[in-house]
Amino acid sequence: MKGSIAAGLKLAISGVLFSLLLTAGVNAEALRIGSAVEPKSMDPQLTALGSDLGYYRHVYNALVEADESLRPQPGLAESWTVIDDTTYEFKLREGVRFHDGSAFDAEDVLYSFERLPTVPDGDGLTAAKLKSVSEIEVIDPHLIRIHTSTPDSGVLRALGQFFILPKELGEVATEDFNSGDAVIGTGPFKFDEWRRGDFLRFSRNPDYWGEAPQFDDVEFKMLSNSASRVAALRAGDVDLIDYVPPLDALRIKQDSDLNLFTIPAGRTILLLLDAKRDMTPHVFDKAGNPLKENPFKDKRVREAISKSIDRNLIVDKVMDGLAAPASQPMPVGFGGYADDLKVPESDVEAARALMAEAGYPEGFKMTLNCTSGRYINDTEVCQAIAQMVSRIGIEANVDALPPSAYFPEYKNAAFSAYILGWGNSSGDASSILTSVGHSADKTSGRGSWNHHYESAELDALIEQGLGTVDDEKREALYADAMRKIMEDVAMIPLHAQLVLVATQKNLEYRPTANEWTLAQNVSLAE
Amino acid sequence: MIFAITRRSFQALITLLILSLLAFTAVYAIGDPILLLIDAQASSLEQEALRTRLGLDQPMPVQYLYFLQNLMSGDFGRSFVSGEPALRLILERLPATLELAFVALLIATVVGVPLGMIAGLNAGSRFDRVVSVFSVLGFSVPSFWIGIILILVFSVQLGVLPSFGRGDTATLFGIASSLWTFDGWRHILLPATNLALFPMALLIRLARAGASEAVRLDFIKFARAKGVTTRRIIFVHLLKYISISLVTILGMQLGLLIAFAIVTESVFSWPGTGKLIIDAMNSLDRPVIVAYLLIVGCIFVIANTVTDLLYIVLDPRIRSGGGNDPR
Amino acid sequence: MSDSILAVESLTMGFDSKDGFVEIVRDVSFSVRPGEILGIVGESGSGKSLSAYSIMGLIDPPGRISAGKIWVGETNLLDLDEESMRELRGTRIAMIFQDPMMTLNPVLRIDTQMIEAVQSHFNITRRDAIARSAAALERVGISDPYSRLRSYPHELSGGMRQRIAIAIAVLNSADVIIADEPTTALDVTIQSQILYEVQRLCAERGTSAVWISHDLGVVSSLADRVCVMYAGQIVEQGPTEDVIASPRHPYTAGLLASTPGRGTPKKPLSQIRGSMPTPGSIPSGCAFRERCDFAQERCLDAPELRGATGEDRFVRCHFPFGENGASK
Repeated sequence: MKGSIAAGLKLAISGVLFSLLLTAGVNAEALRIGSAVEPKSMDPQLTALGSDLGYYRHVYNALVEADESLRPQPGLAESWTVIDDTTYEFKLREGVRFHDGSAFDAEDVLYSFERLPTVPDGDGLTAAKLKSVSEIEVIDPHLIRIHTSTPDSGVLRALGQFFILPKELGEVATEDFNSGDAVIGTGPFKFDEWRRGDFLRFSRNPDYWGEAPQFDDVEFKMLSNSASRVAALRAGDVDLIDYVPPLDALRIKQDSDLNLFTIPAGRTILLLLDAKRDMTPHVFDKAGNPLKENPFKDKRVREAISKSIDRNLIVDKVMDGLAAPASQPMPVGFGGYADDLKVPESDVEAARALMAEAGYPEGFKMTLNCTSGRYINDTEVCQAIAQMVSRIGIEANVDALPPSAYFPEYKNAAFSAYILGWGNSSGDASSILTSVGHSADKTSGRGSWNHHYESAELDALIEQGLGTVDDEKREALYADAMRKIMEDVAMIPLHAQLVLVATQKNLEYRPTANEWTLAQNVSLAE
Repeated sequence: MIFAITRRSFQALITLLILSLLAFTAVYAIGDPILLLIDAQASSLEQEALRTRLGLDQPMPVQYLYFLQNLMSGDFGRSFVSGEPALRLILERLPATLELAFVALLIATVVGVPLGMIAGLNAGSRFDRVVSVFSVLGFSVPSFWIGIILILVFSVQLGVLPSFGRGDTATLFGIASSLWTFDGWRHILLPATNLALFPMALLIRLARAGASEAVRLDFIKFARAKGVTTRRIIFVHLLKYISISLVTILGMQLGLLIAFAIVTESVFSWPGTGKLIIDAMNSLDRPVIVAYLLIVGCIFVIANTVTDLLYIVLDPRIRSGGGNDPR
Repeated sequence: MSDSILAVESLTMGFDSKDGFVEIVRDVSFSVRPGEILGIVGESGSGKSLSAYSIMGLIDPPGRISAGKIWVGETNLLDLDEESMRELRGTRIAMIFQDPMMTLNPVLRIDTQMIEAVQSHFNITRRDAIARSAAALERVGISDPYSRLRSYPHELSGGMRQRIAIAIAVLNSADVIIADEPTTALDVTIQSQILYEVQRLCAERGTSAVWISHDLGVVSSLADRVCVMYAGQIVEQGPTEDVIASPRHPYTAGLLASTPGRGTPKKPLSQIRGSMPTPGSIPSGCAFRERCDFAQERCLDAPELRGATGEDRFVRCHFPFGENGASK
């Protein structure tokens, strides 16, 4: 009796295993992407989170679109001219159809613009970026003029996240987008299905006006757990994954069955020091008593700290070589990049001398506030910094908090020495200069992330740049602002993160600096 | 019986009310969700505007009262993140988690109870020792690590099972589930096994203790004296006798599994409520967190009530009020 | 005796402990003829229950049978493998236990527990098995058997449960029923009912019984022959009336004298001084030596179980009553 049960069990188990081996076939026309971040919704006007925008770019187009270096290129607008300081004229592309067959024209631009600020529960970010737009004038179905109330150089780039919806939608709510009914755009893909937390599927738009994508179907599988995401690629369950953890990236580089693609991302990691207040909370003498003055107010101390940090070493050892040491708070190639600035060299001797000159030959104690799990290896980077500044006598205690706890404290100006990773999604210096470079100003809303530094000179440069519509002139001003920041040690940039994408051997990918994972950038390897 | 049910329901309601208050307060005390919802590059004006729009500028007691008011009409609020009704978000994902919990419990029972019983009947043997060590491992080794190992072995190395996700679903009797498809079973096998390890370890130990204790009882000897086969003694007499204590544990475990499938769902990207709650906690999406806690609280209460009822069904002594002979 | 249905020959069993093998049942022999009721009397710890378990093959490690033979008909049970033994249990030899509370599985219905006694041995439909069970219940004096069958053990009284146990024992028409103190836990009126039923069954069907008890009174009214056990050994054996009327072993006499109801009213109960030795600390020579008022130097030698030839009367004593030697 016992024998036959055992035999029966063995037979059953082998039967099950055998049938499992006959795994489901893989569709060669479908691209499977393992995504780290899921879209919050399919309403392109609800939020402007960078992770969401990438998804919208598959089914929608904007008037202008960012290339790999985030420079504006023609999208639904074939060309544009700057008429004057407050007027842009856009020539709209003809013969473009939405997925439902309706034709694209100026009325659609107008409709999309009118809906933008009205989306309930939206973050209103895109609307805010286009705040200066006072009117969109329709000259003819394929020619419009955008008028701004004040000269605003950021408008052009801001249009890159302003996706065009068909006016035929009429009154439509975010739910209609999330269910897929209202997701109708002009993009290279059509919306297929979205199961939240599970997958998002698009299928090829055969009537696309631009370059046709190489795949019939794209399925984004939501794999937020990085270990599982990498395992899925290894197992062949997906063809491409984004946000590859650096340690795995190294191994993937060496793996002949997989490819790794990188590009410096817009995100730069900065060390900020409170140079504004007379007394700052987190600095102590060696005995643990709070210091009466704020050492960071002295530029020599800031410079000493910057000099004591070996950025190359951090990139090599903490980031496994997968980051680009920063010479300024913005990556190479972005609008306003100052080519003449070099990555600050580590010079411990000079740093010690500066500390002594400033009156701190023995150094002091401080708390270094850090995020945990927000940026790649953030806590480890902070620990490396703490070690490095110890060489000039500064005893740094790293206090790491998860983002949900860190940022509220940040906003309350609770920190003295702290970390920030800035995303620069505009593709030029305007974003960081506005929010972190410019001093805090409630009326204009500028400097909302700046609690640590104030300079009228820098403010003037920034304001001038923001109001300069001419590209060349504006970027020259931004470059000046960059130089001023580095000279005055208003911020201490460390490195720019890399976009890390891995694929199966037979695929190639063109990454973009805004960290968007785009199926249209995937091609079969030669 | 009716009275008992009513009383228990009332207690449950009080529990849920307190739970909602605790959850609400705790999330409020942690931090400001605005900064996590909005892109960092938004100005302070935009942030204030969003705050007002979401009603986060009101004092906490006011917010809580609004919440309760909405609760009465079945409105659990809208997710701060996606704008969708929190209740709908959770109910959408709940079937996947229920599937996972159910299959995990099935595996734990089908594997754990016989193993434990045989170990208990052969107490002190090598088999017993091996099983005991295995059950301790089930408690102590982190489920996250085991999950990754399972993926590495079965998906990466052997390539026989998928490394993530839920399989295709089909609808039977009006219920859509991935358990009706072969692809569904391929996908659920690894995560369910991962989730099953903890309750399995528990069941092994309970079954073992129950069996080794019960086998000394007189009625087992009497059954043997009747010439009943060993197989029947184990699977009818012994099993039915220890099933009472097992069922109690199983009932509690079901609630725990549903609530804490988080790690497994995260590792295997199983689209259930576990992953939803983690994302909600990271972005301080209070409506979703509170709605989740309440719904899971309900499930716990229901699971415990059903367990109590099952207890009555399984133990005939309780059914008729204890019998006429004192024990 | 070759016409006996059950014959235990020099049975020795005990437990393996860290101090070695401790004997509990020491060289016990008895036999039962068809239709005969044999009583085994002794205090708790005398080894009588374990003798019964040994016959049924229900000794679990660390206990084991170290010597002897157990004959049922022509078969030595100790030669049989487990499966053959299982086939015998419930069909040729059946057992009734002491505590009716725990003998039946509290979570299974009566019918389940009765029909399995039949279905474990014979290929019989459930309906037929139920019918047989109902008939057996009626035979032991249970009215309305079908509703009893659908009950659970805890819904029935102790006396009822014991009757059911008896019914189970006779379900398959066993040749020998071994009853281990089945009425000890019941009150006196029920007890006599049970005794009556057993007697009737045995008479009707020619079933033999081994009735184990510490109560001489019960045994005296029921058994045809009786064995008295002390410290794992049989110390006296013979027809019941004879043993009760003229006990030959001092222990038997002491037992009889200390039984309530036998002494004269108002006279203090006599007791045997001391207590029975535990296994492992049994004195050398006669095990009863230290408690015996008539012990002499000769008793340092262990006495054999002896009887006069031709007589069915045995005693393990150097100075038994009623022979040359001590008087009562």
